[in-house]
Amino acid sequence: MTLNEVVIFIAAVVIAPFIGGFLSGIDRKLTAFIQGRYGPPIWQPFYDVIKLLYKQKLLVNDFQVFSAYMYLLSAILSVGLFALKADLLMILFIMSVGLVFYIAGALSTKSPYSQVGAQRELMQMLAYEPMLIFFVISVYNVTGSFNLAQIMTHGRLILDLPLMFLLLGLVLTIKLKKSPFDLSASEHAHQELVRGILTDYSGPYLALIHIADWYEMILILAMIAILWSQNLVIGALIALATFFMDIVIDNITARMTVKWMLAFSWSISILFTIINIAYIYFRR
Amino acid sequence: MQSNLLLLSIIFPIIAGIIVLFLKQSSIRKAFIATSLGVIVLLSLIMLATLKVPDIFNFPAYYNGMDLAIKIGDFALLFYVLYISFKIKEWRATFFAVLQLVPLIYFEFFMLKEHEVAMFFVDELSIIMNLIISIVGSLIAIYAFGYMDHHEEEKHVSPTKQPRFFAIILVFLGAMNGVVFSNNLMWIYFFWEITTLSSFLLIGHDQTEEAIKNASRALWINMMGGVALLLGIIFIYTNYNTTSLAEVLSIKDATYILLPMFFIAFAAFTKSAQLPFQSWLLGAMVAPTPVSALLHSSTMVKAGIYILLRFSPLFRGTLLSDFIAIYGAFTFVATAFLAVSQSNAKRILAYSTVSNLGLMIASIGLNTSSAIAAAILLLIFHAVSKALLFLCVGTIEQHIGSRDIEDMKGLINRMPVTAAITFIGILTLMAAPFGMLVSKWLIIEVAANQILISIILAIGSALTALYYTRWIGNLLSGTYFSQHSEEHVNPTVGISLYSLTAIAIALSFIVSILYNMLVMPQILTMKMDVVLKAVRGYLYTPAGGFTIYPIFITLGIAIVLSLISIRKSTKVVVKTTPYTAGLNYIEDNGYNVRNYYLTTFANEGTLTRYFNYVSIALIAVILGGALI
Repeated sequence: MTLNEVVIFIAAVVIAPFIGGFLSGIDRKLTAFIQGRYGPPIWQPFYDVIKLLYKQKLLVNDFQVFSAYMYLLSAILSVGLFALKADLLMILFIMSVGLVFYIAGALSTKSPYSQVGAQRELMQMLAYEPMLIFFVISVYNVTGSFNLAQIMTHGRLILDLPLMFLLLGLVLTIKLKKSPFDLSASEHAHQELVRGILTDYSGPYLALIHIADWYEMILILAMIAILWSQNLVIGALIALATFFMDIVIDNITARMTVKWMLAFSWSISILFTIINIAYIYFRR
Repeated sequence: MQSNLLLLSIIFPIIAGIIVLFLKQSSIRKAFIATSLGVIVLLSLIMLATLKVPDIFNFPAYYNGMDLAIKIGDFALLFYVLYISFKIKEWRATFFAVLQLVPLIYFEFFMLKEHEVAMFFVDELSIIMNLIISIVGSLIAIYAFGYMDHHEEEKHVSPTKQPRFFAIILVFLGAMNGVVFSNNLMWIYFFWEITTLSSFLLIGHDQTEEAIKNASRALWINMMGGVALLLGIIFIYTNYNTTSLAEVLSIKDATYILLPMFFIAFAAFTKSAQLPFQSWLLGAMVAPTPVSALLHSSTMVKAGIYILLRFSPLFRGTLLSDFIAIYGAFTFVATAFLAVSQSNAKRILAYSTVSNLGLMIASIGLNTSSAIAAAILLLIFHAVSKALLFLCVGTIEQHIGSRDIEDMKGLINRMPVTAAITFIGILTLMAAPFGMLVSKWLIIEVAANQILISIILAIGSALTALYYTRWIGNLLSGTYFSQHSEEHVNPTVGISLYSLTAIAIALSFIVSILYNMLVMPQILTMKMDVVLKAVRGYLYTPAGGFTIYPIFITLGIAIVLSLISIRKSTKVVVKTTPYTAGLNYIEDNGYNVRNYYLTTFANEGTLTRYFNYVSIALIAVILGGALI
């Protein structure tokens, strides 16, 4: 690694959670607006996380600690590698290592809420992981590469991959655990699951998980943004638009079942992938 | 000198096996077996260090004797199978034995014009296979020392049947070495049949009704594979007039090669328990754990992969190859689906073995240089990690009396050592930065312009992550108030578990060295351009690259941080019970939530039937690919 790369890595890793936290602040404000409430201040997510970090440590077992750290660190690593324009498929695999620990950590506590939440999170992973790989494969079919550096020389991927863009929007909804896919942690709290997968993560460790969630959100948004890498400002605007769409969808839909989610996401994603790749070859 | 080594690596285990039969005293027998295993491992390491490969090795003085012995052996073996099949009334085995006998007699006595062919053909692939067989196989045998004592005690077996058990295992190892080193195709066929026979004997070891039933199923399915292999060899001989592997591999005119290749691929599918032949491997689990570990990881099933890899240059770039890729990918995803519906740990492992073998076959079918590299890497990593996991499950089963992953909840408190090793074993099978995942990454990248295959691979990998993650969750579940107990690990069991864990981690850590030393030369031997390069933990192709050390560092940092966090906080931490919405938490009855097994859309019985139909159709398509 050259010095330059180290600087980029650190910069990305430092900036990403701020954007992530800020966006989730906007999310809460906007959701409140849609629901006719006043809502918390924009900076509320940061206040929450800081408060959590200084709370007393309540643990059910030691493995939870390791899980939380693994989830955060692998999210950081994947965002950092994304900034270094590494291999997109590798970044996905690194992200999923963190998830495995996150879920296993929740499964390991014996709370029924946390276990059911973790099982559902597994199903959510089953729904969106293939989609992300489909996305990468479609990108390869346009650009002939998995390296972000190479991929980003193609300025307007979105024109080649319109359906894959929609899929990424779907991934974002599932990934952020938003309605109709708020299965694993019941995003709008006080439901039957309590906080599902998050139930037994508490205090500082819950804070770590929130930060990791911000990183992962940024990662997906960044994947959307590179669809217009010619001008990343436009790319970022597209990503933001997708994010707001997801918030709106979150507020106008009700939660669906696990089975529906799997059937829906798999059929849509396989169909979209095949049509989109056929379209790529048709355009040539 | 070097031919001596090769000959020794085949003959020595077989002779040692025969001697073991007569060693009645337990301690002497164990000492003898341990020494023999040491010799086997040493031989493989010496060959790794000294053999200049690829090359042909000859030993004219012994050729005729060996060849005659093998010819007689062929017939003896088939008649023995006939005798067995009458005894257990398994007429399908009789059928396939006769189906082998007839062409064999015709071929040996009327067709084959005797000419001496070189004895051994050795390249890096043979060396890799030999290392896996010798090292992983020996560690499994060492494990069996402790396991079998316990096993016989439990089942009240007296007098002990261990001499027979270890004798067959040693013969098995020798035969596997024979398969990977022989140059004469008829010798390969002979050793191939020996592995079939010994796996039959091993699966049926306990002589229960179920064991005999499953063993006979393994026998007839593999005999069917034997028929296919024999036909393949005969077809090669009719068209090209040779039984020398080295000569077959250098065939220029490939017009008539595809049909024999289909038969050889068919033999490989049966041996590697691909759909619809998976039932024999699933049934093999009635055998004592070391047997299933041996069959699933380092030996039996890998013989199929080996033979397919061996002949892969001959069908490179053909329709046959493409169809094999689709068939392999289908097996990969179908058995991953089946694994999702299982809660029996050994069945999960069995299905995941079939699934991973399907992945290897898919990448052999893709048949580009990186795909072959991925297949070889998978072969290596899978052998080590799967052996480890099987041995772990065996240990757990002897301890808790169940192999259900639901019963493994909280195992970390009851069997801390084994549960931790199982956890590491699963990680090495499914997560970055370990070798399996790196190979999977490579395969997905290689397959990316084959849409059908890459879609299948993406779904299959997500399913794999699903069934392993929830198993990890079960193993590690527990609270500070769970009852903790010390675990006493049997020394020989310990030796093999620790060594396999160390090997699994170390191999992943040195993946670039492994690639440069053994896999890349093999790619060159197979006359392909090397596309995948590896430098210090960074594997890259022009299209992308995977770097492992940052992930290892991340793992390390996470361990350090959590240790600090736990240690520093022992004063302030509150050891709490799980959240139960205010109800009293009682540790023992707990609130165990069963895993989701998706049985509504992954019902094993129905799915198996449909998957079998599809796979039979796909095999027919492969045949079509060979004929066109």
